[in-house]
This record gives sequence, C-alpha cells and structure tokens, in this order.
Amino acid sequence: MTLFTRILFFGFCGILAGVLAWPLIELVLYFQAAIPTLLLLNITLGVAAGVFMGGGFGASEGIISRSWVKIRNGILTGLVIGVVAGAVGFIAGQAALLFLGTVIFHSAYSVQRIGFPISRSIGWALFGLCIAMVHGIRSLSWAKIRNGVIGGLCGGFIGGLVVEYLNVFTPFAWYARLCGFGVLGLLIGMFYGIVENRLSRASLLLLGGKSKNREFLITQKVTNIGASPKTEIGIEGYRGTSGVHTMITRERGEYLLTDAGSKTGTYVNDEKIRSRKLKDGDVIRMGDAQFLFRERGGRVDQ
Amino acid sequence: MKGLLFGFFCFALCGLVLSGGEAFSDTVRISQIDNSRLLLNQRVNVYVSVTDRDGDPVPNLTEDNFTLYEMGEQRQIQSFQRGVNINQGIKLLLVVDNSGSMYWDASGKERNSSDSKLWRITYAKEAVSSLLNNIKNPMDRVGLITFNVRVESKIHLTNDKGEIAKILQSISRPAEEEAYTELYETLYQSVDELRTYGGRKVIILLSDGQDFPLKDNPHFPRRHGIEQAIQFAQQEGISVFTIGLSARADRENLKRIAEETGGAYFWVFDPAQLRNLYNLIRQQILQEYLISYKATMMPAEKKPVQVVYTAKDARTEAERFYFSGTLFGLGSKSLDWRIFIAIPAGCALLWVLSLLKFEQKKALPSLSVHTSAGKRTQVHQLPVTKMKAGITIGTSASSDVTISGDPKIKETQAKIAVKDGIYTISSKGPVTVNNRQVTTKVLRSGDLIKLGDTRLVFDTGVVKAEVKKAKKKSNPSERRAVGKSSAGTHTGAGKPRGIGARVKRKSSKRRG
Repeated sequence: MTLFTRILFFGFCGILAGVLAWPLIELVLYFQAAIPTLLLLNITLGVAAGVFMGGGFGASEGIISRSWVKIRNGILTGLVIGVVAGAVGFIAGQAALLFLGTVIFHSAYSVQRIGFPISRSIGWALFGLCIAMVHGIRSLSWAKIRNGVIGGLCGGFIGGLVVEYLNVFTPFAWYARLCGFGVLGLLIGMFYGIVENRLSRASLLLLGGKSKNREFLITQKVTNIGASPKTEIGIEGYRGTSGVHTMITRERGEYLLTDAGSKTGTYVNDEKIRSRKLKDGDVIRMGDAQFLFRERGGRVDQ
Repeated sequence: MKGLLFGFFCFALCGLVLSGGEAFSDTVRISQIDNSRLLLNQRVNVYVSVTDRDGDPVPNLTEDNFTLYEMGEQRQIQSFQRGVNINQGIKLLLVVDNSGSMYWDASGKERNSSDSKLWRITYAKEAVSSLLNNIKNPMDRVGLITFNVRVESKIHLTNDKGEIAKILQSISRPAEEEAYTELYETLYQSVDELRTYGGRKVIILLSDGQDFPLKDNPHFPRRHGIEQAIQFAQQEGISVFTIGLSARADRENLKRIAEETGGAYFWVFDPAQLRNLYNLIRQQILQEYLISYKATMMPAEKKPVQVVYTAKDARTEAERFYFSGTLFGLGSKSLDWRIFIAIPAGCALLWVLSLLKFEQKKALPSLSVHTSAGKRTQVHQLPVTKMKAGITIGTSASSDVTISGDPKIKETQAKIAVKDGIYTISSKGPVTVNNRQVTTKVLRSGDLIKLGDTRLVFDTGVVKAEVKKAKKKSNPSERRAVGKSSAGTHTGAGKPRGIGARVKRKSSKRRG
C-alpha cells in the first residue's frame, strides 16, 4: 500500500467513524429536554460523538496493518480516549465560545457572524485533537501524539466549520449533521495521514514478497520490526522473520538499526550486522523480507 | 437574516409586549436578558424595570412582586438583586438631533429666533451637561452622536466628561442643505458604535421631528430603515430610550423603537424638561432589578421569558425572547429508527475494510524497472519465468530488457540466468546489488539492482508452487523471449544517487 492509499484509508475510516457517531447524536438531541442542564447536554453529546469516533479512529491503524490485536486495542483505547476527548472538547468549545463572546466580542452581531463558527470550530478542533491522539497515546509515542495534535486541530477546525455552515444553510435537512460528521471524520483522518507523512523523516519500503511496495513510516523514537502484529512495523508472511526481529532507534536525526536477537540475523547491504547506523538507500534484510531504507531529506527514487 | 437567529450566546431579543391596566399605573419592562451564564450554571439573567405613572422607577420591590415564566412554564426565581447596574456601570450613548428645527424657539412658534438661549438645542445641550454632572460612577461610559443629514460628530464611549463637554459646545447650526433628519440610519450606526461594548448598553435618542432622509444622500449610499435599526438593536441587546421633542415629533415610530428594544418613549413639549428626563432615564436604568432563574431544557432556538409583576392586587406583565440554540442545533422532531441502520452499516464497512488485503496473493517472479526520468519514476513489470536460459539487460534493442536513455549503461550490462528456480545475476563489469558491487550473485526476493541511474527490483514472487505449476503447463513452443520492453525513455540529467558500493565482492552469498 502506498502512502497515498494510506491517507485515503485513514480518511475513509474517519468518514465511517463520523457516520457511526451520527445516530447517537441525533438520539441525544431528540431527548434534549430530558437532560437537566446545558452543560450535561454538552457532555452527553461529546461522549456520544467521542465513543464512536474514538473507536473508529482507534481501529483504523489496526485495520490498515490488518492486525486484530491492533484493532482490538485501538477500539478499546479509542473508546476511552474518545469519551474523555468528546466531553473535554465540547466543554472547551463552549468555554471558548463564552470567552470569545464575553471578553472579545461583547456583541451578538460579531459573535453570530464570526464568533459562533470560529468558537465552535475551535471546540471541534479540540475535539478532533483529542480523538486523533488515540493513535499516539496507544503507542505512547510523542511523534504520533504531535501528529495527532496537528492533524486533529486542522481537521477538527475545518470539519467543525462545515458542520456549522451546513447547519446555517440547510437548517432542516436531516442529512446536514450526517454530512458534517462525515466531513469531520474524513478531514481528521486525512489530515492525520498527511501530517504523519510530512512529519516522518524516514521510511522503510518493502521490496518484495506479499506486501511488496508497502511503505512504513518511521515516526517513533523506537520502531520495532518483526512478524508479530504488535510491532510497529509488523510484516506477515515472510519466512525467517522473528516476532521482534529488529529495531530502529532514532537519535539526533540519525537512525540506528539493531538486531533484536533474531534467529536468522539482520543484514544491511548483504552484510550481517548487530548494529549499524543507517543511511539513505540502505537495503535491510530480515528473513525473506528486504526493505529499502529511505530518508526524506535526501530523496531516493523507488 | 434567518441565519443570524442561529445560535445561543447573545443578548438578543425579539419582542416586548407592554401592557398595563387602566387602574394600575405601574409598568413592568424587561430591558435585557443576559444568557451568558447559561452554559456554566444554566442561569438566565433578566433585567427588569418597573416604573410608576410618572416614569419614576419604583424602588424597594421584592421578589414576591414577580413571577417568571419561560416558554409558558413557571420558573423559580433563584436570585433577586436591586440596583445591579450601579455596580456594573452603564454604557450610555446619547444621540442628539441637530437638524434645522432644533434651532427653533423652544415654544415652537418662532422659527428663526435670534436668541440662542431659546433654541431647543441649547436645552438639549444643558440636559446632557446636567446628566454628565450627575454621573459619578467611574464604571459608567458615555458617548455622544449628533446628526442631521449625516452623522456630524461622534465621540466614542469614554469616562472623560470634559471631552464630551467640549464637543457639546462645538455643536453648531447646520447649513440649509444639511438640515435633513437621517433618523433611522443614525440609530443603526449608533447601535453599531455601541455593540462592541459589554454590560448594560443604552441609547438615548432625542429627536424633534421624524425621519426625513435626503434622497441620494452622499453620506449614506446604503441606508437602513426602521426595521433594520430595531432588529439590530434587539440583536445586540441594546435598549433605546426615545425622546420626542415638540408636537412635531414622530410619536408613533419613536414609541415603536423604544418598545421593541426594551426602552421607553417619552414625549416632551417643553425643552426645559429635558434636563429632568435624561436623569430620570438614567435612574430608571440604575434602578433595574436583576432576576435570575434556571432555564428549561426545552429545545428551542429562542425562548420567551415572561415577567408578571403583581402589587396591590393588580398585575402587569412583560415578555421578551432570548436565544438558546445549542452547538448542534435542534434535534429532529421525530426520531426515525432508520438512522440507526448507520451503526451496523458503518461497523460492517469497517469490517470489510479490515478484510481488504493490500498484498499480492500470488505473483510470478518479476523484475521492476525504475528509471529516473526527471523526478518521476516509471515502473515496468517484467516476468522472468518463461525464460530461455536467462534474460539480458542492457541498452541495445536486442536485450530482453532494454533500458534506453541511461548513458551510464553499457550495451549488454547484465544477465539473469535461471536454473531450478534459482536466479543468478552476472555481469561482465561489476554490477551493484544491494549497494555492493558484484559480478555474480544469486538473487533473492527484494534484491535491489543498480545499473547506472536505473534501479531494478527483483522479486521471486509469492507462491512458488503455483509458479512451478505454471511453468509445467506452459508449452515449450510458447516460450518466447520475455517481452521486450523499452523501459524508460529519458533519463534526467540527474546525478547518480550517491549510493555507491563500498566493498568489492567477487563471490555471492548462496542461500537456498
């Protein structure tokens, strides 16, 4: 799978996450009168949206790497983070609305024209931010959390604007919120994918075999590679690869490859190594799998 | 404008109904509804003003005098405060008519009185000065706007009374051609001036005539009417108190502006009364009662609040709207069960996605050629199964794999031979495989071969058993040479990608 399809994939998972969240939102809105306060209503809405969006996004990375372990863990962490994120995002959004309204604008005119969409989108951005961090928090990787922060902020903000203006222009269309959530999810997903792509400075390209041409981004400080689906770069169906075969550690912009005690050993440019500093264009072999190491700084052709 | 109604944080108001029994002279008015605390603690603050027959504020009322309804449902009063504006300060914008008629005699009889002391404007100036003198609260802010055919002078809200007094003195009689009364447009602009401030916002509009706009007024290429001005003030939560001076004043419209914005209308014949009036209006505002209550959760974009005032067995009431939309807008009226199909449908699609394999299930041995033509990479798949004894790679047309446009490749550079499913690359000159220069090497899946600026990736395929089957099935007569392919037409003037070989190796590693 190329990086582009990866981005599309994230986007599609995002849409589905939004579609999943939508009926619950409608349900909560329908029973609005039964909820005692506006604050509680916002928390409920945030949680309702967060449960499904968090779950959906959490699952997306597992779905991409076709690892049931990752899907399960992703959904579980996604649910938890989504619930928190939804509530926090919504309250933060309302607080932003309040702050902008009282302190900056003081004026219903400005608040409605600019303040409402902006403040609400800020709320959405905070919501998106928290949701997109699902990936990062699960793998406890600062780089992924940072990716999530940027992707979620941008995606949430634009997605939120879409929700806002769809509501403004088609107030009675039943599908308005559905579209809004879809767009929100799509943008969070795609932004996450794009930003992840942008921010990672190195990647591994599988040169042959089952998953030929699949490119893995190296985003974390420590990246494990092996046959186990729990590893960051999990490759299935290659003979001679151990569960955790090799790991790549990043230090001051340099990448160090270290064999993780594999049975068949790790080779760089057909030389068996224990540990080796990688440079652009190196060919790494573990078992039957051969990778091309690429650094983004120096461009390398496929 | 419908879009503007959307939302919930605003002081906006939509209507005010004043009603008072004949026998009961006190009047209750909702001057403002503040819902900025709605989200935090579900509180709505209602500013209520009660005045007696003379327009004087009725002091010392208690919460027992008031009953409060939201959307027809009685709400318990949570807190009741008197004189709340004394602490918070008022934002007061004085709008004074400076049209030609303001320079008439106070009695209205003599049009061109030479005695400036008798002019209406003089009384108005004095009234404003007196008001300024009475304002001692440092939290109060006052602004001043005078108008005729245009907005003449404008002082932004300030607590510098001297500045206002200075401008007040500089107000002068307009020229004949300027003596129009752009009442509504000025009101609109006044609201625009005041709207950016917080707190209790009030406009006091003084006019001795009616809206008398100049056709094609160069000062106002686009003009707003009374509707828009009122709507704007309502939306901004600004109460407009209107004073009609003299018998010519447009009683009907000035009254309408006041009532619909939560202010009050006063008619004055004798300009000497203006002084008292300005102070009275200020007192009314200062004496407002602040009633707060817990809002209902009924979904609505705007909610009516009704205040019923009872005293001495008589009752009078006032109604006003505030906006209360939520982040997602209103829920649908009926909940269609079909929307829940989205949940299983979405889950199913996610499941389908998880089944998608971005893998090649079976693939024949292949050689992909990546030439660097400019920045783009071209990929050519070349099956290497049905081979004679091997395939040749080079620049000449007779090679099995022809790479043109790469000047660094010699005529027949390399050859891949197959025997019992083992592929061996050999070359007369050294060839780079996996960044090592070799002359011959047994290829393994995923080996990276470099020829000049061209890269070739060798792949043995995935399912070897099936490849063997395919081999057996294939008729010897069909064993043609591998499709000749002109791989890559142009090679950019790019330099060789600095992946040089470091170690020379003559033998290759063998591994089954």
